[in-house]
Amino acid sequence: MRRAGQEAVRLAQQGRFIDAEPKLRVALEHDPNNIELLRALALGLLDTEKLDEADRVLTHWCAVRPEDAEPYRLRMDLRHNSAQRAKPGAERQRLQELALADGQRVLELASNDDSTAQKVVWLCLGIGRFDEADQVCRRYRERQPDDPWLDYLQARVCHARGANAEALGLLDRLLASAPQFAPGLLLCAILHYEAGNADQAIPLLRRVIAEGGASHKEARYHLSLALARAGHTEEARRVMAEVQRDNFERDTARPGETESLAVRVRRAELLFSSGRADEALASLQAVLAEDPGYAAAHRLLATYYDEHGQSAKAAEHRRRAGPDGGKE
Amino acid sequence: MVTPTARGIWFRLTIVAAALVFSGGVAAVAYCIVTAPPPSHPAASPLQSVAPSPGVPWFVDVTAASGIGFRHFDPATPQHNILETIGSGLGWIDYDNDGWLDLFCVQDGPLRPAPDGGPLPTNKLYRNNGDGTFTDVTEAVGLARAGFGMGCAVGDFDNDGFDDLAVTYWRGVVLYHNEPDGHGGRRFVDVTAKSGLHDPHWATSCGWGDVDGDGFLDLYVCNYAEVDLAKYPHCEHGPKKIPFSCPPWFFPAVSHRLFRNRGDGTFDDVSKAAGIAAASPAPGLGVVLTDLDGDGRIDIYVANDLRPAYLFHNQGGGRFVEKALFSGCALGSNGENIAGMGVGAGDVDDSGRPSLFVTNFHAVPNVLYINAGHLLFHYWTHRSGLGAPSIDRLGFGTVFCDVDLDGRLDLAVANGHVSRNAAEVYGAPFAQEAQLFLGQGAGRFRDVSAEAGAYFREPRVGRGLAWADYDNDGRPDLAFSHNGGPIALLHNRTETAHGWLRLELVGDGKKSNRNAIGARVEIETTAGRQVRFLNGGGSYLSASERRLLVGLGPARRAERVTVRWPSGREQTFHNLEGGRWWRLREAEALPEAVEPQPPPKSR
Repeated sequence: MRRAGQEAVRLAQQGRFIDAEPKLRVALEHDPNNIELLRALALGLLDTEKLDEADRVLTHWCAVRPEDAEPYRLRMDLRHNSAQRAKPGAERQRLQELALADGQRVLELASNDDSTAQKVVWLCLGIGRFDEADQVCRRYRERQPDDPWLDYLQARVCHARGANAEALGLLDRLLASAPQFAPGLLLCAILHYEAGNADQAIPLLRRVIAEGGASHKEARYHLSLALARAGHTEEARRVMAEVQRDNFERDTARPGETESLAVRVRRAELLFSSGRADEALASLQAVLAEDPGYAAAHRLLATYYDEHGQSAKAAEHRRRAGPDGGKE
Repeated sequence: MVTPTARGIWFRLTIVAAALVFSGGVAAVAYCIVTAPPPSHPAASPLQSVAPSPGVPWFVDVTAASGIGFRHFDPATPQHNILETIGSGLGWIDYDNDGWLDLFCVQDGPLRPAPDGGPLPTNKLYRNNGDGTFTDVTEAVGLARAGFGMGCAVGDFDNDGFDDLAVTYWRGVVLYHNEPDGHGGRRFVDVTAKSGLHDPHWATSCGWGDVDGDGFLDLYVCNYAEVDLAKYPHCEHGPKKIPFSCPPWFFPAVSHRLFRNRGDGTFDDVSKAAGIAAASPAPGLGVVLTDLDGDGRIDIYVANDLRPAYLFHNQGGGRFVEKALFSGCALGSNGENIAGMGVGAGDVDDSGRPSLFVTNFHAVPNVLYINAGHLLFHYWTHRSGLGAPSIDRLGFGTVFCDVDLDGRLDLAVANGHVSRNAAEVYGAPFAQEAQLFLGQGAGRFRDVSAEAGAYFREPRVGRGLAWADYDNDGRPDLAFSHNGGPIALLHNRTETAHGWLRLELVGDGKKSNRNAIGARVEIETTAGRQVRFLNGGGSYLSASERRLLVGLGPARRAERVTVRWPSGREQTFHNLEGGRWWRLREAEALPEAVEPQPPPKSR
């Protein structure tokens, strides 16, 4: 490597990538397959979030050194992170597939790379390649039989492949060493629920909810199912009403836009089902103040008054709902 | 020992992300607007086939050769009215009982027809000539009706042995009775007014089923929402204010309808009395009627658009209780709403119970609920292999049928976005490829779309989908409808040595409806056992063939076929030879072998 290239690499290693980058590029023009230069440039581009360029440099590095695991490993991480940022859809899937292909290549070149093996298992799970995930996971669990992470991965794989008893065994072991690990608690609860043991699922789900975090929402939904199955009907309804209200607010969120009357009527309906009748009635009155003939609001009020034994009021709202209102 | 908290951030982040992906994703992305450019499709798979290979499903688009010239009217408006996004369906009906399935295509039209705008497009009926071609007989049979048509359901509501037709419209349902035309043929007579069927709302999918066990088919009609053209909301996207089709929550939903057949040609609206109207009104798009808990009574499952699905559990006596939420088949894996479009029901895990499949919006997966018994369903989407391939599609029509006759139900899905400017607004393509998945048993499927023929690689704006073996060759064919485009008739040319049986069930017309909708059929062969259900409704705005086409795999005959009729009567037929059409009549001990004859040239 020429002196200018060495200087560029040194600057990059010192964390001065802004100074190093132009020098690295000039040096690569003269020596395009120089691995030290490529590594320094790729790492700098990754650090500075120039991801498209980083991908191109890593791809070149892979082509120059196809027997070197490092560029594949870096590109796998880059593409997987890009996939996570992408909206669900074809692009995310494409990036996941590309990341997985890189991960598989790393394992071909460095079969003792446990960290990459775990990532490969996750990617396989995300893409739905459960048999492949199973093979990789089992191979690496043989090497590290006491790794709780691998137990968790294997439990997910087992669940995906219908081996629920094995999954539960693995989770029992995992939760003994990491009792607050929310994804493990959640999966364990789902397995108990699917096995018909709702009572055993409920305390696990409550622990996940208490922890907060990313599993919270899913846990709340499953809690409502488990509560219902265990006969705790009232609490199940209350929790499910919260789930539905959150769904509604998330689905209909349009910052800065005026809400349609239909949205406001639906919110009132959800408030009724949450036991917040006063708020619901106020909301419906506001709707009818804007549009006194709004049939959906009258229909909802008719239903409410029917359920509360106020048949005259119910009949009046049904009449005002229009000629077909009475049949709703 | 390494503890979970000791790992790097990449992996911890990945766990959360992967758990989300794995568990089914995020409801909020449905109808969530993105600014990204339309995604490019993955590179062409090396598995793409250009010719059939033995054992692999193979479909050929024979629309042009069939003579079916139907083209769906594109009612596009500058405002991107939600009505123009729904499309119209199609239905297979053997209206003249000649043993050859005819095709009915539903048509819409301009939202505001000009007074002097000329003739409006109408629904069409294409009569099967028995030689792979069809003839337009719409006028001759009395089905030339214009309007904003949506879907259809085929059923013999008066048990006279001829299938009748219910057609849904924006603001209405029309019932046609199939009658002799006085010249040896058949015609359809509009009996809506005298039947008492009245639904002033936006009716979408509908389905027949005998919900009260009186031997006559009743009709369930999904309603979508109230749309007032005079007060239509204006929905715009982003700083450029791109108009787009308003999501369903902009419109008030209305209750669905259940019409009870009185047995004398008239119907009662029993929506309220039956408990249907007690459910929170929701925009319904797909309905299937099938016995979900094996109690011998037909239940009703409805896919709603961004609202919880309905599962109306039949209590007997024509009464229903809605139970979807706590049965686990109303929402996605995280409890998120599903943009439910089409539905299918079938035994995909060899449990003997019908599982449920629901198509969903772009960027979220279609959903498979495995029926665990006792009205309990488990979210099975990703475990089935159906999740990941559907993320980049917006699913509509869907059918279960055994396309390769291996004895396992396969699954076809019609795809296409709702918005014609989906690329700008949603970052998704408007036209999308249909998909075909091969059943692997145990609730698992394999995507074979790239290998199944050219149609599955052509982006279309798919909507309706219905299967039928229109040429009686023992292989199920497919018909797709497209929003604003021609239909596609796909002929199944799968090369396979697998055996098959065609089972035509005929109820006694007294305790069972003559169509035997609601029957459960168990087929035992040397290769194993399979259970099939004769459902009402299904798919999206569409009606499939009612005769059961059962793949036998390597077996050459069925040792036993046990039918549980809608009446509750159970009957076993023995030694049914494969490769044949068998008519099984309730209470008659012996099956009848049917030989389809070429239909007369004209009537």
